Amino acid sequence: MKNVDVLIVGAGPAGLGAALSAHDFGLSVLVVDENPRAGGQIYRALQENPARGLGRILGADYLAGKPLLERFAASGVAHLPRARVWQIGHDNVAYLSALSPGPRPEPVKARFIVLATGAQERPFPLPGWTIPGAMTVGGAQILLKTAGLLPPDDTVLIGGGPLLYQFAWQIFQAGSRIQAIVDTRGPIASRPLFGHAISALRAPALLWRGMKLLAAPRRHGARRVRGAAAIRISGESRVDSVHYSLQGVEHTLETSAVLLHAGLMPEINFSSALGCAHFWNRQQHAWQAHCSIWRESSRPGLFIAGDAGGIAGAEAARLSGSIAALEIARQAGKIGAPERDERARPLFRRWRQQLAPRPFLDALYPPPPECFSPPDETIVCRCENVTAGEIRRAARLGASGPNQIKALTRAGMGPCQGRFCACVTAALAAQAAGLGLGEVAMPRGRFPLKPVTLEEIALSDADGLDV
Amino acid sequence: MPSAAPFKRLPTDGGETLNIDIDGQPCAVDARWTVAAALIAHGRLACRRTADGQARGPFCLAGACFECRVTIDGIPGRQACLTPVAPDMKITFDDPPEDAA
Repeated sequence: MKNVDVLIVGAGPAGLGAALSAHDFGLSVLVVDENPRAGGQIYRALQENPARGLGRILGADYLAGKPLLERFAASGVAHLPRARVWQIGHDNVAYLSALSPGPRPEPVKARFIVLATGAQERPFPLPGWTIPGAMTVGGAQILLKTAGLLPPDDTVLIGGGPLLYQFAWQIFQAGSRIQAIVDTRGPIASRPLFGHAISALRAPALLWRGMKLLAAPRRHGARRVRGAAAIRISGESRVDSVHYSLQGVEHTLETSAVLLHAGLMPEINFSSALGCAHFWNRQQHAWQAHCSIWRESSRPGLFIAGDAGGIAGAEAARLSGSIAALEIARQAGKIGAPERDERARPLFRRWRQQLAPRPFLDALYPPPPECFSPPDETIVCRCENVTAGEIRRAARLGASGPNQIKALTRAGMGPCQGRFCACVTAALAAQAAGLGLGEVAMPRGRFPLKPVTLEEIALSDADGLDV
Repeated sequence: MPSAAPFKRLPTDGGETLNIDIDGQPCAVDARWTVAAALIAHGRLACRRTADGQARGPFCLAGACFECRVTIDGIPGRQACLTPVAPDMKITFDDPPEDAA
């Protein structure tokens, strides 16, 4: 068993921000991450890009991560890449498995744990979304960042939100093209949006960039479809077309790849499995953990930094990691409350600036209705092949929430552990019961958070393990 | 059905390449790629079948969805998106879908 002061799960901006600050206070820190390099999804492969000119293609937001990664590499903070925490047991002991051949990582007992597990893309269950060739926009962007791969010229993007338009812009910057964007944004509820726009004016650079991104598809010959209904994807072992209806008329686009994006939501499997208190964030249409201003969850000593605690973007994530580290340093007796507050003041100011445009973006791109109410034939749980119709039937039979529906239908029981279905199942349960989206039980995360072998459990010195 | 258009490679900086074996086919790939990138670059978008016969392939590319499970050097159930390629790596498919790439 290894002992550290601070265990940080995730090497994205939040994890690195927390690691560097905690390290500066003389605390022993270990950062664990599934990927070979630090940076998280946002700065993937920033220091080892295989393609020429990728920095220009991906833009300033991507290159902005460079100083952070350089500081982390120079800091000497312990970093365990290609490893995952699959359980946090009694006494804050974390159990790890390796994704690479070689020695098995020993369990880590930590005084403080920072969950910096980031965001995941919101599941966007459309009929046919399981067919090979249908991927997430974020996934395709990871292929561009890590491998210099661009989607086919006839690709169709479906959904909306900043990431979708940013990725389209990156494709055009690379000199490539796409066929169409099927934008699922509904009519704008203008009054609340106007109010949010005022606060978003505090971030003029972001608004300007947004307008540039929205104008790009037309300039690059991509069709932009608005108001499409009944969207579905077809193909056998590879996507071959997208179908939708526009004012009652059926349309078909032949295509070799479909990229889906319905926004981001916090990764809450960890905090939920640990029994932390959560609430339904109405603006972001997602559950998130209750945290103090210092990012401490309802479980003492467990902090949640970055998008894992609410979607706010990379720079806000880095700042929130540093803010969490200040409170950790105080609890560890390294600094007093006055020094913590003094050091935190500029961080909070910049953090609030980062948050200013969020309500506007959240109101501009709410999740498409398909995310909460897909047609009956749609596979909702990809792992266990459970359709929306089967989930509705279970809800009508009296299953009162996503956890009961899981027991009845197996939805959420597969290797992804509900990451790509649980919020949809919960929405279907809410509709069946006539409740609002956040009024049903939250899908409960369960350890192990990702599949592990029996051998790993057997050899993990599992005294504190509930298995 | 018209043949599918491929994913395209940006010009690289001339980094190292290495050889792997995808389902018996020798393939030269960038040494910094993941197995998922190698499969997609070689048109292999389907990499397994569900129990009821549906083809599935890489979806989230971020380690969360577990759709890209393949057999790597004889070990089944490995996530292609989290596994870097290595010299002479052998990738096979548990229940090989007929690929339409």
